[in-house]
Amino acid sequence: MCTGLSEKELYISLSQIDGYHSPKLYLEQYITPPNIAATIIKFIDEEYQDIRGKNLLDLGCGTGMLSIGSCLLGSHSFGIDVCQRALGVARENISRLGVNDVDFICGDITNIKQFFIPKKIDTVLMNPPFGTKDNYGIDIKFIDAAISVSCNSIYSLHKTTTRKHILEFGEMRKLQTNVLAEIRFNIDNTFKFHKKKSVDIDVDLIKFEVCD
Amino acid sequence: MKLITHNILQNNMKDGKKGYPLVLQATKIDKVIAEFNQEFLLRMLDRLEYHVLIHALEMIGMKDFLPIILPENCSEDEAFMKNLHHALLEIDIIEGELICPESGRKFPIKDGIPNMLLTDEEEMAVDSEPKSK
Repeated sequence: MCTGLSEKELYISLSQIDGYHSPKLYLEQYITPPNIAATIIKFIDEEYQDIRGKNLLDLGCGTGMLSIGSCLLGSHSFGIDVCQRALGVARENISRLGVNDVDFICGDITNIKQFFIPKKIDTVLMNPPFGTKDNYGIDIKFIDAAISVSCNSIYSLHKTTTRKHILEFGEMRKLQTNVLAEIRFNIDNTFKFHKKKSVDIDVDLIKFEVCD
Repeated sequence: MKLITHNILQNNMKDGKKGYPLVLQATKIDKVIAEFNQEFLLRMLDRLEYHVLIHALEMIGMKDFLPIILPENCSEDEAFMKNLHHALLEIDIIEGELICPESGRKFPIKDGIPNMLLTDEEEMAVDSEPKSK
C-alpha cells in the first residue's frame, strides 16, 4: 500500500486529475486545487488518523480529487455526485492513476437517505458548494447528508464568510464543531462571471464529530 | 461498482418499505486488483451485511469461494480474509442493473457507475421539501 506517500508525492499524483470538461455553474463545479487537497488529506491522516484503513465518503465528489487522494493514502473511498459526466471523468482519473479502491455513485445528496444506508462511513471528506450564490442553503444540506451517513468524523470546506452560520448549525445539531484551518483557495477562472484570471477565496476546513 | 457498494445501496421508499438488498444483474464484469488492507476489512466485517454479499455473489454466478455462513474467528483465517477482500473490492460490475425488490424500479449501472438518481415525480414522492438548485 502506498501509505508512505509524502505530501509532495500526493500532490504530484493529484496534479494528474482531470477536472470538468464543461462545468455547470449551478453545481459550483470547479476542482479542489491539488496542492490544497494533498495538504488537507495528509493533515487529516497525520493529526486525526481518519484516512488510512477508513471507509471514506466524498459528497459532491466531482471528478474525484478528494476521494482519489484519500485512496492514495490508504482509505477505501466512495464518491457520490449528481453529475454523471463528472463521474465519467472520475473513472478515467482512477484508471490513469491506477487506483482501484474507490467507487463512484451517481445520486442526489439532498436525497441520500433514499439510496445510501446510514452510519456505514467512518470519515466524510467533502468540498460542498459554498451556497453563497443562488444556491443558498445547499452547504447545510451537504452537512446534513454527511451526518446521516457518518458514524465518526466529517471534514468539510466552507467559505470563511459563512463560518458563523456553519458553526451555529453544528451547535444546533449538537455536534462538536471546530475550525481546523483557514485556507486560501486560488481558483482558476472557470466561469464567465469570474472577470479576473483567477480568484482567491478564503476557506475554512471544519470538522464535525458525530457520536453514535 | 464493487460488491462493497452493492452492500450499502438501497431503495428506501416513502411508504416505509425498504428496497434492500437490491437485485444485481450484471452483463459486464471486470476483475481489478486492490491492495489488501487487513485493518479496513476488520472494520468492515462489523458493518457488512454478509448474507447480502453472498447473495450478490450468487446473482453474478460466483458464490463458491466464500462460505454461506460467516465463520467464527474468521478474522484469523487468512484464506477467508483474502477471499473476502476479493469479493468486496476486486469484482467490478461495469454494466448491469440494480433492481428494487419491492417496486421493481431499475437503477442502471453504466461504465461502472450505478445511477441512483430519481425522476422528479419519484423525488416528490420521497421528499415533500422543495428542491433548490
